[in-house]
Amino acid sequence: MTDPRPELVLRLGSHAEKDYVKKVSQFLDGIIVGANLLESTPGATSSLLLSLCGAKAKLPYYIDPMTYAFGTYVDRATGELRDDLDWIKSDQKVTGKKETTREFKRSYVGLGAAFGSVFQSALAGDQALTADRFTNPAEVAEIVASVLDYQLNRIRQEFESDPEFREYTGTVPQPAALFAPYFYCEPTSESQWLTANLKLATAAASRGSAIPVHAVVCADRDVLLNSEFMARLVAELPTTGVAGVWLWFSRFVEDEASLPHLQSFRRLVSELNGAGLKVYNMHGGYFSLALSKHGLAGVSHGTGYGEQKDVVPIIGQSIPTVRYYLPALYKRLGVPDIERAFPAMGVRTPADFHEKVCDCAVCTGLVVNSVQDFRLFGETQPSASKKRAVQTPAAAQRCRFHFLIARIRERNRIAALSINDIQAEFDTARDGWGSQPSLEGNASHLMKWRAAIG
Amino acid sequence: MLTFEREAHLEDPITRHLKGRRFRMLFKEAPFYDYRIDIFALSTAQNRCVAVELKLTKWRRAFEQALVYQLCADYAFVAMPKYALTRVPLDLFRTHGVGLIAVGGRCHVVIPAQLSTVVCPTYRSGMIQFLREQS
Repeated sequence: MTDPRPELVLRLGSHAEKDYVKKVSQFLDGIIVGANLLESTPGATSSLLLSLCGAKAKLPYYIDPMTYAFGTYVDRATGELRDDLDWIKSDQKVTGKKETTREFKRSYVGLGAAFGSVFQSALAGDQALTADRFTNPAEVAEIVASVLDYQLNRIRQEFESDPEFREYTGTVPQPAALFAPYFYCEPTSESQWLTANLKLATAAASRGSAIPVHAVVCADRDVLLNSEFMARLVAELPTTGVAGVWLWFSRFVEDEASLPHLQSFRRLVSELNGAGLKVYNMHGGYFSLALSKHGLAGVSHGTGYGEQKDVVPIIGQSIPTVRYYLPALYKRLGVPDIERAFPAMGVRTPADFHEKVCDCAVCTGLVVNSVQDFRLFGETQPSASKKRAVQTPAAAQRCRFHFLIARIRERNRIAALSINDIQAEFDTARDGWGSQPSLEGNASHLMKWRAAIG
Repeated sequence: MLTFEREAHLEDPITRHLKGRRFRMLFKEAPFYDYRIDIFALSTAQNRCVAVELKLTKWRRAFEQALVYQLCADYAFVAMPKYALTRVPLDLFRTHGVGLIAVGGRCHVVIPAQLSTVVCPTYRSGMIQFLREQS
């Protein structure tokens, strides 16, 4: 029987986010870090995990091995299949010269070395791993061993390697679960990749670790509409022996997804849970929390805007404004869009704001003198070029903390709600904030969610 | 029939239209939070400012943006090609005080904008100050 209160696992994207994690860690159910972050900042990441997850705080943690980054992907710009591993390269300055050269990021070079010869040869040859690479059982076993050992031992090794901190080696906790190596089931050969991933999951589960082994299903959102792929997943994943699975459907944005995508996701969660697996959404939001009613064990996301993540990164994207999470619509929106709805929604005083918008610690501390204080969430300053206004770091921080507190509250209260209660809240949201002309276009997800969870 | 392929092609007719109505100070792509107001204009003689959202087809999005611009401008308009107005629900615009301009060879005000009831003095003066600095 699944715990009715879904787990909330925060993903640490960079060390710039550590203050958020530290301040809310006591309310979290776990923290997840990418192995690339661990590899690029091993000392800082290991120390942070020890302080959050050690004997005192005991926050469960996970290390995402990020093995998919060594596989093939479809280029966003050209639509072509890329097997040159360019997505883990960056332009790096040549010492003593002005020009740059495109090289593998240091963190992935480190991971390649840690994961063994198969990964190292991929880097050496600029050649991504392909689905047919995982046919030799001995090689699969080697890959699995190195990836699982990395998750088990990397932090301990970091402490061991430093004479000053060696004494802490024995206090390093174990991860809450180990992820089997996984690769992106890219759309040109998703079935072959699924086969490879299932093999890797089977091999990982068969190692007999005392720590639960989880699989990651990483694929494009459109496999949710691929009945053959879904049927294989439901039939074959439970037979691998893994204890849990983390779902990651690239481009699956809960508040923009179509009803068929949402319904298929719900069915998948329900069926995998029914087959005995703990099911998590690796990058999810409130819809995922609501799916705890259908067996979703937990959800993870970033501190600011990580409720979905594309497998293939968007190159050259400017840093987005951190928007205000409007709890009533379960969505981040622009400050003026929300403010425009205040008169019609009867928000005239700070007390109105706290009653009808949010009364979290951040909002009660900020919206004090008038509802115009709400603008502090969208506060701007001139950009470096002075040609436009950009959000101040303080405003971005306020939005993030408010979002995290709102999400923790959602996690806490959803346990007491029935599906009918949740649907009724969606109705209320649609008829209230969602019916305001400046917000209506941002509320279409409510009725799709309502239908999908029913 | 005059056709417009890009939103930017609506700028000149609207600029002429506004200047003819004594809105002499104009700014294109005026920043307001994440938004870029296509045209923000000021008439110092009338002490009035206007925000105009240009759109070729997506009237709903333009309408939503114009509603938000009512926070920082006295008047907010949507301007679209004349031939694209057939599906626009005029009553919705009237109800919320958003003006509608049909752009053809000349501009024609289909629905006059109402003086904004939600304009915020801080936003308004900030926009005007920005406009003056840029000018």
